Amino acid sequence: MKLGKLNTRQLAEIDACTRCGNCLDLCSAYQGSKDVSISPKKKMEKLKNAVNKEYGLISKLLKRELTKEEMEAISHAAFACTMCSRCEVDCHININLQDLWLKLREIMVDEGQYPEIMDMMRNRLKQSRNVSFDTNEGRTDWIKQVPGIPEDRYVKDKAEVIYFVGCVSSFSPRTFKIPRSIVQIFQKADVDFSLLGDDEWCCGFPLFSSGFSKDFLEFAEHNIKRVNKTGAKYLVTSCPSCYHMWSHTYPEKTDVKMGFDVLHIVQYLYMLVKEGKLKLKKVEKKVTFHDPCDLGRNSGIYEEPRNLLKAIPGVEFVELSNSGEYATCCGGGGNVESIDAELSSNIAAIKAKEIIETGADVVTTSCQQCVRTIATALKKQKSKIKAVDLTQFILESISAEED
Amino acid sequence: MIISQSLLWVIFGVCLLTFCLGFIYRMSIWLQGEDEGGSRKRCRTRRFFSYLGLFLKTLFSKRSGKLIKSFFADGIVHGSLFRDSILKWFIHIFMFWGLASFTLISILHLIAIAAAPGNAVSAAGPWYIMVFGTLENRLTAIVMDLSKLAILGGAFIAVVRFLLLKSKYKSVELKDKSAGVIISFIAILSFLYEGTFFLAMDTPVGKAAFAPAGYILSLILGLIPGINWAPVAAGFFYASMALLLLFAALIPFGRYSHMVFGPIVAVYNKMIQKAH
Repeated sequence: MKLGKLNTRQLAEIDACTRCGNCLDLCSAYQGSKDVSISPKKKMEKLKNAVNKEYGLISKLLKRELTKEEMEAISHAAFACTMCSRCEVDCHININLQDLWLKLREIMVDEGQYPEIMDMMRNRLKQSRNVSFDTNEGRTDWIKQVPGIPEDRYVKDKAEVIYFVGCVSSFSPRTFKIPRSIVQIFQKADVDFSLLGDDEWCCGFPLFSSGFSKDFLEFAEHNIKRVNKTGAKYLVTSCPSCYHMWSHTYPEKTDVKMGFDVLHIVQYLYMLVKEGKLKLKKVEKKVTFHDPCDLGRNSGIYEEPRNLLKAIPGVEFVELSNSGEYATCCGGGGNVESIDAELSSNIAAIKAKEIIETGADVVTTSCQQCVRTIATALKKQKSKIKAVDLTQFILESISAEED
Repeated sequence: MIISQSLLWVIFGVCLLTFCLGFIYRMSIWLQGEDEGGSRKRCRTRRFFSYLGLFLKTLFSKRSGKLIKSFFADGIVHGSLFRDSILKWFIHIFMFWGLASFTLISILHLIAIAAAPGNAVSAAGPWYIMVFGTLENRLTAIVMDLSKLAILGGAFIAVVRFLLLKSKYKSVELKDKSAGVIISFIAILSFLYEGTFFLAMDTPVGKAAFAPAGYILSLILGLIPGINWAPVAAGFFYASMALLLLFAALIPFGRYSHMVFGPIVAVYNKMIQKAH
């Protein structure tokens, strides 16, 4: 195994880890499996051994190398991570753990040590430009049920706002309500917006977060160039992972300049509310909010969704016991669902319990994946709490009858 | 109490050299990694100076306040640990600062003795020998005694916490626990040095009481009749000093390297922290 891809800071961080075990309680993967070998603490220990074996003087003299079993153990731990970066928040020595886990996946990909299912996802993306089994021509099929759609299905050459729908919302029927709600909100607020249609390619997050760091570049460059052509002022996404890619990863990893601002839908909707373009009406419900990892911790957006909910008359907002940067993963992150469905389900069950404890009528979030995992987990626990995307709740509010 | 000054200089020199070599060795490993941008074109020396440059540039920039704040909050006070668990913070503060103070005062004590005239522990000579060269000095006695009490106190709380902990994985690794055992053993040896020193030097209560644990130990050891305490004290002095310095010197090489590198990385990462 070659750890040559680790950078200087990461090698120092591995040495600096105190293995205090603080991250154990915070790790969703550990909590969902109780398998200490996949916890951040154990991963750091394995990495320390690996670094010593690759770079250590004694190992070099004795020509010691990591064994196949050791590599497999590292790979298993690396791909069981939900990439929620909760461990990073409370690390006493400020280790950039998410960067490290991502780099570890890149190394495993380079070494050919990754779950086979990742290859399937990669090939599917390369062929169809989306994570589903469908062809990319079906990107806007979900819009058929929206009343009052024009013939062009909002796929226009020029628009002020580009709505980047994302693969899951475009192809997974369980989440169609999210883009449909957004289009209806845009219609009501008279927003000049466009979809990219089959020119929308996956944002590349599944590839990037799985360690295929080179493969995702093609997707990033295509998407940026395509949006630049529209002369849009804003690119709006409803998927937090797409948002994170567009706002953080694209500018960092590509040289193509973006001639527009990137906003998550919650930011854009809050802007519309402040400008008076959206009138929120009374909805008398007790509501809580789950912070998606890629929107909250990984992108720093905490205020806007809360401000939106608090702006709705009649809403009694209640926080989850772990909220903001301390929010726990719903189990849908890091491609874990496709690698270990049971682990993902166990993590979601923990989240569902936390939601039930609030006594809320509705749990809102801003991620189609979180809605899916949370709704399934709540159903399994026979809870009557409704899991919806915040955009669905906003649509309910603006469509409500005036008192 | 006769001490071989040249032997002390040899012990100190070898340990200091070993520590520095360990530090350089560890840094040479880090510098084999890629640059942040992903390339690895520059040689290790150039990259070392590049990182040093970044550090100095930040130190003398507008962000220096953040750096200094981080140094105190993360490196000195361990604020995030306090927010997480007060008990763990007490254990850590006791052991970390106890060991740091104990090592520092021991090195100053060793240098002062090695530099003192006449191959003997005495309170005569320049000020630093008068202050650090003997346990009869109040400052040296207090720091030497309290730092070790902090170490043993921290180790004791850690053991109790471990015994009460339902999930043992939440405690530090067994291999890491050995650090606590080794440090505690060295602290006990040093207490024995204190006790036998007071007996050998026939230190009056007014001075010895500044090292309460050492003084109490001297009262207990004093009950043993017919022993010439001077060579015993010298033996404990050599043993505790050599073991402490050896332990410190080997830190960069082994799994305890976080003791040195943890605070460095904590401050460095705060310095370059990405603003979301």
